[in-house]
Amino acid sequence: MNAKEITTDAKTARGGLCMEHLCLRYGDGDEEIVALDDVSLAVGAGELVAVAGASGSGKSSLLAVAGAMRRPDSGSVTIGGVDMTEGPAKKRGAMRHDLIGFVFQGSSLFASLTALEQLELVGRIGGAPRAATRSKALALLDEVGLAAKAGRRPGQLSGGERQRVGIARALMAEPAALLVDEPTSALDHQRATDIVTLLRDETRRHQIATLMVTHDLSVARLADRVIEMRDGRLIATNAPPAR
Amino acid sequence: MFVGLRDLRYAWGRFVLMGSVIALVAVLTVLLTGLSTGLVNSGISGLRAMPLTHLAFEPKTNSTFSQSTLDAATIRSLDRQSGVHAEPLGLTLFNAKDAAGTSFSIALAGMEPGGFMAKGVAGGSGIGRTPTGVIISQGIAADGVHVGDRIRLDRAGVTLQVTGIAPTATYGHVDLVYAPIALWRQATYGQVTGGTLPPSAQGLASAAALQVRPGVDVAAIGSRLGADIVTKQQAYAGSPGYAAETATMSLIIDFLYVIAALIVGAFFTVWTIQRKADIGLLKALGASNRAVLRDALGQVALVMVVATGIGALVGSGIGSLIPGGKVPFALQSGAVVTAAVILAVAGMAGSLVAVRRITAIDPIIALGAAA
Repeated sequence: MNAKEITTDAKTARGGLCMEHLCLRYGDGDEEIVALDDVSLAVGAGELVAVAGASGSGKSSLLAVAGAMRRPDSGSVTIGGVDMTEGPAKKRGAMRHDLIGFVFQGSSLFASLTALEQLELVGRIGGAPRAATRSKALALLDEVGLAAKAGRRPGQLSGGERQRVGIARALMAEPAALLVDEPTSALDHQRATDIVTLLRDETRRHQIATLMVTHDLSVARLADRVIEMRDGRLIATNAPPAR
Repeated sequence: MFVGLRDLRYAWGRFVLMGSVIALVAVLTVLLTGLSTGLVNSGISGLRAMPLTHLAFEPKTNSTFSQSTLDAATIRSLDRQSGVHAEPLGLTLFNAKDAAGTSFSIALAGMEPGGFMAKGVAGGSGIGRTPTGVIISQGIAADGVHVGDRIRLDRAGVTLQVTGIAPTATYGHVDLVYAPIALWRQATYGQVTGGTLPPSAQGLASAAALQVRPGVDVAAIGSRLGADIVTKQQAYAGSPGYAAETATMSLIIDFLYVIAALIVGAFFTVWTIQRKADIGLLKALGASNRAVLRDALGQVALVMVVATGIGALVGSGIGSLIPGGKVPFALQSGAVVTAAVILAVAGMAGSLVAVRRITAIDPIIALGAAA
């Protein structure tokens, strides 16, 4: 089976994101830093899990490994049963495109592209037909409430709107898992709440396994589960407060 | 080129600046190419127009007319070779004065009246109609010398009568005057005696103009008959200053290509550093190295082609304003296109220095302060 067939099967299975016994170290000797220390975590389809922790706790490393950007020293990451740690960088890049959607800190949009083009780019990378890509991008922008601003560039959008475009872009390839990096870092409390609520709604609507890392506990509580991370370990697993 | 094209549109100011620099280099390249072509024309256009394939010179004279002398016997022997047609050709530079006493330089070319050389140049068989009759090239006519005028060769004591005007032709940056070979001999070898040809000079010429059939072993013929036979193109090097001028111009133009490569390389490297986050993001979204490179290099190629094209057009426009005659300048579309293509390729080559930088960018940088 090639990478495309594998990822198509994984999407169909919608088996969620499963990380088992992940270990990741940087440097060596006295300089060695343990970024991930035997981390195991499963995120089901349609579930939003928030990982909260201070800077340097290992949150970003967890996202890098979960997103097939970094190979762990040991352990495994599977999405819908597909091992994301195997194969060369090119294959992992293709699987990343097909199976994982990223929402980056500060939205990370291309300054030269309009909101619509930010989404179309994902379709182009995947080789999807132009017409289908455009209609899907417009539908997703409508879903996040930005259909009227499809022609605007990032500089013409507010912080919250930029983050909504980032979420819509992450959904373009119909991912099985959504990895979200500090989505509210540049937003006021109300906008932050709106964004995480939108993430939760989209997670359920598209039946995606969403893993969100944040240092903002007030928005983390909007997730289905909140896990605290400290020194590379998951030290507590809590259900969120009743809503 | 999805992102590359939109970057061009969005950040048009910086690309216009970069493109302007490339366009200026292209303008300079076109102008220098025109000067180079003009200098070449000025050096050898007369020789290039002659209906010959090879020239036979006296051995060890570096294909230089002023150093070479061939006798009549050698030229006759050359003409008797199978597949070879040979005629005497004399070429000497003179100071001349017109009827008003104005001095100017001429390259006096002597050729056999009625021969293939006389028929092939100067528009027909006008050479030799009268013993002192000559045909001047257009460059001399443009300075006010007309048909019927007399030209006196200083020191040689020989007077030439203008009987016709031929298209512009020069040798060693001096306008050609076509004369019967007998008159050329009288002017060249009779200088000491005031125009009287000494008996020893009978039948001499600077060289032999040859028309050689393809496949003839000219080296063997030359070796057997004691002559140094070269192609017409090889004989260009014997034109005064030709080799030094073409080498100098080529060196300047080559430096421009290197400068273009350095400019594009430097710009593209800085541009890549500035776009590092975007490139990381592209890769994080699943774009392969190949796709990212195609996008980035396509962007450079577009800038190079457009800027070089505009520069070549502007350069050609400026070149067309340069007055002919006084400045040795000639634009040939082939040379301009070749220079523009080399410039664009040099720029693309320069951009390759950033390729490794692009492929080395880790998608993980998209995760902000990622580990």
